[in-house]
Amino acid sequence: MHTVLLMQDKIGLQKYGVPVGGPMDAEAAKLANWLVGNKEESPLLEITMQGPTIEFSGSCQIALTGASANATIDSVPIYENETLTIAKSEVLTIGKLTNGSRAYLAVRGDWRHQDQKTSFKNHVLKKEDEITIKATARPIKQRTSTWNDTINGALVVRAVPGPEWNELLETAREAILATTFTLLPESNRMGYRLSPNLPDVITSIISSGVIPGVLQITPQGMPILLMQDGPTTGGYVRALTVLSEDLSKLGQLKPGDQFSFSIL
Amino acid sequence: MEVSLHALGDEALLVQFEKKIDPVINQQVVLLGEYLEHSFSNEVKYVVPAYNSLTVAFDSTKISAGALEQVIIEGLHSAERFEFAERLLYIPVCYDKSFATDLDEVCRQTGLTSTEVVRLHSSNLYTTYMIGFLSGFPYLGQLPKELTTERKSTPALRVPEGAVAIAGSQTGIYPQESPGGWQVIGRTPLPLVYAFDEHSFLFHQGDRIQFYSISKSKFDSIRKSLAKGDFDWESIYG
Repeated sequence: MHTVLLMQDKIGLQKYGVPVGGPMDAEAAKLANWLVGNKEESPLLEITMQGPTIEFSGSCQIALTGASANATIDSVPIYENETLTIAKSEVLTIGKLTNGSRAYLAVRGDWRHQDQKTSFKNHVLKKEDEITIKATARPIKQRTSTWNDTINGALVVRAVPGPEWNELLETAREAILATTFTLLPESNRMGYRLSPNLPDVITSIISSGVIPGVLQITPQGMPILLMQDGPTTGGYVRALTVLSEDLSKLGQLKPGDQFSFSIL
Repeated sequence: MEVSLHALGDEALLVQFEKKIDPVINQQVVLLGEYLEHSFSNEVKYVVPAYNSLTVAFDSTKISAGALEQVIIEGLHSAERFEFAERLLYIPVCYDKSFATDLDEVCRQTGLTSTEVVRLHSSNLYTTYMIGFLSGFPYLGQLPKELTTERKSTPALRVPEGAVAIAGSQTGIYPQESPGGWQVIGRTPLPLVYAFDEHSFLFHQGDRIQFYSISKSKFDSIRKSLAKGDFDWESIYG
């Protein structure tokens, strides 16, 4: 139920404990920036569950990708996954998201100079917030994509064994691969808390690096899948790491959604 | 140097050094990380050094995991030739009871008096083994054995920024207000993160840290000079 300004400028600070902080669905975010001719990792807005209403004070080109945004410009329905031209004073309304939980709004231009840094955290937009984007002189030719990451049927994500996979008990390894996990309500950009717990109690490790996509298991058997705002280090065993492409699919899940792991 | 390499998904490798907590191993981790960041800045997205491991996140469109493994093995030999540039930082801590909210609990667990806890904590030279948990949070070790303390069974909801705390055989400082399970025994007036870019962090992995005890009035005067912008930052470096 919120929109986050992702500046995508934190790569390299992880040695100081700063979370990666990127888009939960990186593939959809890259596509949105491509559609407006921005660099792949340019800033953009990540919309979760329910969209905002945005008034544009100047003309520009935008694109919406990811979950279906049921969006309108001045009450007229618009298409996703293609470049759209906005005129001065037009109002974009994004509704309740369907077919996923996160949509991306890219705007052609330079977002950098509006960044007044007061935190390493991504800024959550509030009512009346203004974002200044320096429009790029020349509009690009409109682009379109048929790309669609709607998940049909049961989601199975591919993963590779983590550094401690072989230290897990056989019963725990079997359970991880045989279980259909459900996202608990306390899941967010930091990590997904999964149900059910795994049967075996296992030990912890000397704290070591983790990245988004790592499945940690606490000594009580609680599975935690780390996501984009997760910590950079941890002391829980690392059972699996989800492949980056499939991590984008997981980024579209919401509490109550289910998935399972397959191992490569 | 004995290391093992593990895949962390398809875009990161874990370089596992000997599994023990040792300042020399820790320095080798930092040196390898710096070497990879500087010499392969296009291919390597970021590194996460930890106690005895280095996580290397890479751009799989620019280098394969196999090629990166070779680079890492060669890097270990190159890194061996570099001398670790150790920094020593003197960090003021006010152990006043108004800040040391868990000092009584630490005394109860260790059987020491408040004075002994402060003396032991501030007379030891620590190594910054890792930065993690929160942006800029240093994991410092080893705590003198007598100070070994259990972490809280239920974390405190709000630990203040600057809180100096202990848990197990480690000590650390909270860079920002946060929930936390470590036992708080003091507070530093210094900010651990002073802006929001790569040059903003007080502690780097591998730094040696010496705490010294200051009064409440000294704490206030350091805070005042930090606010005015005339704090002598040079004074903290040994």
